[in-house]
Amino acid sequence: MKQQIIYNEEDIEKFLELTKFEKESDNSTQNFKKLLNVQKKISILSNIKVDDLKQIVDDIQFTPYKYKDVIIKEGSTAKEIFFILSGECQVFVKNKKVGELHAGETFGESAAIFNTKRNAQVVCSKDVTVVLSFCINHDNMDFCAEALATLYKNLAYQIHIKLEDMNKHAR
Amino acid sequence: MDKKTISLVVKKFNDIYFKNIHQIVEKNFDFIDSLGLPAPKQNYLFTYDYLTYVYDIFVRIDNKFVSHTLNKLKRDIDNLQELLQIHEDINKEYEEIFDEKFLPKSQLFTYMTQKLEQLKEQDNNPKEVHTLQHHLKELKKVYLALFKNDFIKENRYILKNLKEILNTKIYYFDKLLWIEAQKSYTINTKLKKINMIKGYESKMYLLEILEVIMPYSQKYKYFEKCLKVYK
Repeated sequence: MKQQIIYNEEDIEKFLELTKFEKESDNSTQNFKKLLNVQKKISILSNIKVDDLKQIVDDIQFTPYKYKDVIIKEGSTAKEIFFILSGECQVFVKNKKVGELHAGETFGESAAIFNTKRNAQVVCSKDVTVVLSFCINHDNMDFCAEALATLYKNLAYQIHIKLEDMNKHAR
Repeated sequence: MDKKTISLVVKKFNDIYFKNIHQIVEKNFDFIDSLGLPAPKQNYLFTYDYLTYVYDIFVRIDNKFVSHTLNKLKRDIDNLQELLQIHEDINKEYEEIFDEKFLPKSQLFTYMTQKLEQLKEQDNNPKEVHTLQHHLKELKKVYLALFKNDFIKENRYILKNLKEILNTKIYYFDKLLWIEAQKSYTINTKLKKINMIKGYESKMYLLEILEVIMPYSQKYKYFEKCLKVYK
């Protein structure tokens, strides 16, 4: 009978890394499934094929926030895009309230995609607000060009709607 | 000798015969448990030939890509595969084991065989020789029936455990293989050329292979079946 293989510390570390990686990938699979359930509601992700979405969306998180919790800090450089699943938020610029966000609305997309600083602070205004956040993986740009083009088109449309809304209020 | 006593003799034999393999199984389960490697839900045993095929391709592209851990894991799996084969064969060869290893260890059987030989040598009591031969034949039948039952049951238990261990190790071999391959510049460049950038994993590579391999060949059919495991 052949001698049994003995694994040393270095091997054990590699295996532990693998299990960690496994758990993370299990979590991200679950989160991706949850994202698919609400994809239609997230306007910037509409019309993107599931396989492509898998490639361009990263770091999906579902986070419950409590009243007064800060979701986005003004001037910060985080890269997440947020979608409110339930609850409400308020938007502040230089401590002045400028708007409200409700379930089904997306925020933080411009700074995330154009890599600029957050221009407003978003604070939870309900007892519990559940927010879905994700990042866009630009590294896969080469082979997901079509999906990213759709994403930018959706984003442009959303900015257009926001501008129209602002114009309406200005008139 | 009653059946219970014979069963005890068989059990004693099994304990000695399977001692090493029990230790190997136990050590492997301890290893898996201590690292908290969760057992995969799918059956990856079937994919090992495919993984070896990929491993060999990668070695040809970059023979330095294999880490000590990956190398050890492969040797470990190969050893376990060998053991699995040995124990699969045991199920078919139980009669030989019974004749060659079990019977010579049975005191009663050895005693009766020796007695028969003595009688045959004396050659003065053919009737007694005939009766003893008959008893011996009957005893062998009873022994064999009980041996077959307990021995194969024990071996099946070992096979089940070996498959479980192999399944877990093959699953992690698959994961580690792709992680190591990703670290190799040469392999990366090759994979990018075949559009593997969409994901370094067995499923994607299988899809690529199926695109270029001769359809309906044996290999094609095998890879197609492997793909079902990854779905």
